[in-house]
Amino acid sequence: MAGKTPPEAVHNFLEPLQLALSCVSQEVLTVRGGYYPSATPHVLTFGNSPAILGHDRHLALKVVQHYRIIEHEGARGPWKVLTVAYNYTVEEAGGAGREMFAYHWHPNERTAITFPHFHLYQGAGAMRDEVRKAHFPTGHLAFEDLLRLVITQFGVIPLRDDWEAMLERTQAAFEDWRTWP
Amino acid sequence: MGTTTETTNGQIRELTREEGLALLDREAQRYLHMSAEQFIKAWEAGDFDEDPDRPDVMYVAMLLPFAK
Repeated sequence: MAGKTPPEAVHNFLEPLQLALSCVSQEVLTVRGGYYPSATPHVLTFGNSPAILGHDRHLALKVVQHYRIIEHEGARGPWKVLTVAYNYTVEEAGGAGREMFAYHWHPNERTAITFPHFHLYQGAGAMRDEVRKAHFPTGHLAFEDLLRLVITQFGVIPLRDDWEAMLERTQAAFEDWRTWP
Repeated sequence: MGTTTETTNGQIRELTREEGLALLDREAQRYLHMSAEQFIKAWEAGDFDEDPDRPDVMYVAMLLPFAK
């Protein structure tokens, strides 16, 4: 997402994410010092994690994203925000909530797994050891795709009647300016 | 059921350094039963390098920028 100033670019990046999140949760995005360019990525998560999802409340979501603010030549710039890492984990809601699956992309952490990937965890049911340990390669995943997945295929009852249009809108805004490093 | 209002869920929250460290500490305690300081030391020493992509470890590790 772009803006005339770094804070404007970050606002244009965060607000659609918060709107998208409102389709399934009342949680508020939480950042730290993330409105100016920095040598290291900025981070966002939820204030209270995991976020219980939907009216049904049977699943919960943990989210961490890293982003950078960069200069960008173009009509809507000169500042732009790039997502540079993410961790989206879906788990059973409740005290002992077990992780079910996750989409990860963490190219700069202490691991050789630098490509975007998918994990299946114990909360998804009994599975072979190799499946439990595997990093299934994926493309980069938009946050909206994850939210659409839990609504359409995991029975999360959205908090907004206009969830489809809202996710389309926020994802289109993101994809207009999406650049994966 | 649901709403069609345009509003976001309140203000996006920006944490101070102390609040960020408290968040990291809370999550490190909850998922790894160690303090933020202990996790940072262990992470940087490579204590988790055998399987850093365990769900609990990678989640807390990715929260490290909250402590910067």
